[in-house]
Amino acid sequence: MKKFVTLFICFLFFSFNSYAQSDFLEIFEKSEMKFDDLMDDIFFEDLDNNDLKDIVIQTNTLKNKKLLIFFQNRDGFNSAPSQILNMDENAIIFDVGNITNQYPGKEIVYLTSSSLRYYYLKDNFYNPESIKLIDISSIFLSPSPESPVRCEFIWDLNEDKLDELYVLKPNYLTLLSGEKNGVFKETQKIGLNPIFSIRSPLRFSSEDLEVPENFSQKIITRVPVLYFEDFNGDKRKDIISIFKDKIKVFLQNEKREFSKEPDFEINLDILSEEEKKKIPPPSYSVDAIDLNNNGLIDIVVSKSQLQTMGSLSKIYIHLNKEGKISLTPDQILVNDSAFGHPAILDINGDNHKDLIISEAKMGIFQILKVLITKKLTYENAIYLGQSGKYPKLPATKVKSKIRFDFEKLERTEGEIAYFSGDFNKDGIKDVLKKIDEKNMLAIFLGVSGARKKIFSKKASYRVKAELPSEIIIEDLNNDKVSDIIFDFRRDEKKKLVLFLSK
Amino acid sequence: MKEDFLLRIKNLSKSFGGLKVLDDISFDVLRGKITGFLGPNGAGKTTTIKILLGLINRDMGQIELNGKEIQDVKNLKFKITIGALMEFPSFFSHLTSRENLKILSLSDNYQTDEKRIDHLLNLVELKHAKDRKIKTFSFGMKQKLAIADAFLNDPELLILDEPFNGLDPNSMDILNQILKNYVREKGTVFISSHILSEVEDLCDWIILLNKRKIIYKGVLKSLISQKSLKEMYLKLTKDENI
Amino acid sequence: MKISNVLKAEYEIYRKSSLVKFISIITFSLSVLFGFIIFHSSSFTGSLSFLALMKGYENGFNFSISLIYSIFNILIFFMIVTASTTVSDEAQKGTLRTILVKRLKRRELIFGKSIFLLICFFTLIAIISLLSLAVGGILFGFSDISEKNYIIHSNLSLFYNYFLSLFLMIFPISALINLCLFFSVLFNNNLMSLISCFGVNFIFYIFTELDFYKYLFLTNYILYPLKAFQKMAQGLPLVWSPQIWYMIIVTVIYLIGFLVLAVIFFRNKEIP
Repeated sequence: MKKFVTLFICFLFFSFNSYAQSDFLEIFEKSEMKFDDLMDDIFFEDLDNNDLKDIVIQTNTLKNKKLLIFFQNRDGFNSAPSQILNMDENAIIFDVGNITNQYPGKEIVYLTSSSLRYYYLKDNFYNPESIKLIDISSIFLSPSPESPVRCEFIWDLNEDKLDELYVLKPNYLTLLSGEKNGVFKETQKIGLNPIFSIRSPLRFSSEDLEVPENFSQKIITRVPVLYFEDFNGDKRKDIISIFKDKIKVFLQNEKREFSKEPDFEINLDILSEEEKKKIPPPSYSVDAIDLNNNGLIDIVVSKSQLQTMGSLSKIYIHLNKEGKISLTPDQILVNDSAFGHPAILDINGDNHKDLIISEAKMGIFQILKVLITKKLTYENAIYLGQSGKYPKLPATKVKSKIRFDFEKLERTEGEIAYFSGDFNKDGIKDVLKKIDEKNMLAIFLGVSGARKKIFSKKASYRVKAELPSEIIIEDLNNDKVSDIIFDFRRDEKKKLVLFLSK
Repeated sequence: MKEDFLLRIKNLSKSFGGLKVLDDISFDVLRGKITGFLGPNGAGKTTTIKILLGLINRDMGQIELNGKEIQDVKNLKFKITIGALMEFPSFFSHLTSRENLKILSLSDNYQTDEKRIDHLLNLVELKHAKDRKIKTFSFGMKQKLAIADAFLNDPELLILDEPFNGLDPNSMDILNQILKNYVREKGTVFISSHILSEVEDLCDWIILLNKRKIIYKGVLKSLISQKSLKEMYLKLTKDENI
Repeated sequence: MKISNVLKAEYEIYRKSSLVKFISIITFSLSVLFGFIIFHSSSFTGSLSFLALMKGYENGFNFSISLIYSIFNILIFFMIVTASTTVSDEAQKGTLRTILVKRLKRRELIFGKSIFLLICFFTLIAIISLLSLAVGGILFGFSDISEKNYIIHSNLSLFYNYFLSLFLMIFPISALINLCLFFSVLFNNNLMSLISCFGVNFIFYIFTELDFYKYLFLTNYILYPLKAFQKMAQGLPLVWSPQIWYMIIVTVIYLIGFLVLAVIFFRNKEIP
């Protein structure tokens, strides 16, 4: 009888194990794309408005700046680019949007030092000749020798189904909107200016300077980060600008116009006088994100101070209460082993944002261990948020590893966990682990309703593959299941590997 | 005449790391008498005493107290009040003789008041040194303190290992008198010594140990009827050596 | 009853022992010295001293726990020295023989010594802690740990957890005492006992660096309650469970285990 029970338990154990692991290719279809130049940047956008995201790869050779466009159709992607668009040499920044109804797809709009121009899509082909939208000057005074950078300056903030353009001038932010005839003009000026500082070996800190429009180029331009979200609960998108620890809010009124001057100015004063004196001073980041799913943007500040051993990091949660942000945080999370700033995303599918904090204990033994093994093991601690409130202890910790190459002074490989994918369509994020030592990708599914141990202990899917340095997770085919893109940019390989969900 | 045995030791053996130090010895300790335990150096006298006091374990053998076998020899001291004096006594050197006796009476779970401690110190002529630290004591003084310690709990049985060591003739005489008085008051003494003159004067019963074995046990008087104890001792231990 | 006699006897022995005097003098002078350095430098600059700023002392709790932590590191060293020689020293000097011929059960001696050392060191810890708390309070004052008007830890919870962490120190300290006592029973020689006790502790410290196994080793918990409170005094969250339960379980296992081992070995020990 005993033997039978033991056999039965062994059988259960082995059958469970073999059942638990499935191959990746059961749920993904692998495809590969090749191109001739090295990739500079990549983005995913539904260019032809067919509800399927297309891939745009930016390459930069000395001769020209190219956009490699891979259109996605119901059968997926072609291995070769659908179109190679040679971009205007004068393009400095560009973005994609629906700025006119004249053409079926999205337009690629770019800014030169003197004008805004765009390429339009017709019959699945971007016309290589761009059309001038308007003559305009901006903070960008001369063309850049580098690849044009994609900046999100096209938004539909007044929700009229047509996008507007936002261009930052030396002294203000100008809003351009199109009229029915497709003609764009500057419609609003918003009192938001970039911050300039003079590049000087004697000065390390930047101070706000009033700079005339045609000032010399030898200045550092610092641009505030703009968020277009509802701040005051009127369901209209407002402009929230964050520069260092200063927040300015420009509300959108019923006439769909923004205030010329900020309605709210919040000075968070993140660093105390003592902290400013420290060498090095603490680093910090400010994020504007809706934590508690009430439709209002909240503020998350993370501050990190290097110490003799490890660092002391603090996360300040300022919840937006009916359009008001209090200078007194609603919660301060303190951590002595965190590094970097937290990732904020909804892990457990409750629409409330959770925090992922990378933690590594640093002591003499740990440093010795890193030096000997050349590996740093850290933990991604997941703090599940509930209405913008976070517990003292993480719900779970997911281990990651970075391997160092001390000769090249760079991280080479390791075991990196990605948290932004949902691979089984249950609305709960799953963990994708890139295990370089085993050349393996593994998926650990999120467990529904769990407040602890929120990921399965054993990998549900695994695949062996030639792994890239970076992985991008994106739902390309709009089926609510994340797809995996192998980004070989840092490996200097001229290809892209896709795992599209079936 | 049937003798009254307080302790009866049967077939006691002990080895240290394969080296036999006691080989199947049997003897008795007579109630109300002084039993002398004699033998040359290394004969196994101290080992026997240590076994009786529970400091080391026996390999084999039985110990009977008043005719009843004691299973665990370590418990002997709980069945009968024993006053013990070990060879080369040690005390807490940073404390005075009074403090030492106080601690030792606490360890014995015996309520000893200051008066009794003072009385015992007087008895062994340590009155002048009762508040002196032990580290200033000579060997003889420590020996005297050990005698006081042995009487601390008003014992029924005294087990003394070389009590005359380091004592001056006066002190030897005093100890002699103390022991005689003690036996007179129904006390029992088991004494090991090399000072044969004192043994001859004190003991009623003799056990002679040589080379791990008992070579003589019996009434002292019958042993020394023709020769002195010293001569008999030398003769017996010499014969044995041959 | 008999254990209480052992306690009384141990008290009499240690009361006048030079080792206890030495430990008391060293710990007291260190407290005074450390306090003096910080007080002196702060009075010179007129504000918080450089050292204080560097260490981030913002209130009395932080100062006092840092002070205690430094002193305890030294105290633990003395504790190991004292506990690991408590029996071996008596065996070496011969007094163990003098005591053991008395009507005292060997286990009573071990229990008595264990309890006595615990009482001794815990009293010392309590005195140092209260003194440090007073010094911290005088120099920096006691206040809530707050930032931007948000109270991270209230004064009350700081006080409560300060005393709780001191109370919880009983567990690792008594476990460590019993571990040392075991080695003290094992040898008749102080040096051997000391070397083996420090050796075992050192090996435990190495194991404490291993991710999973550290939870099994006593050294992981020796100053754990204080470490936890020190973090709290720096504004970090204080979460006692489940770590504290691991600590209690593991230290109690060590405590009982080594006490039982010490008794078993001592019962069969042959006294020279």
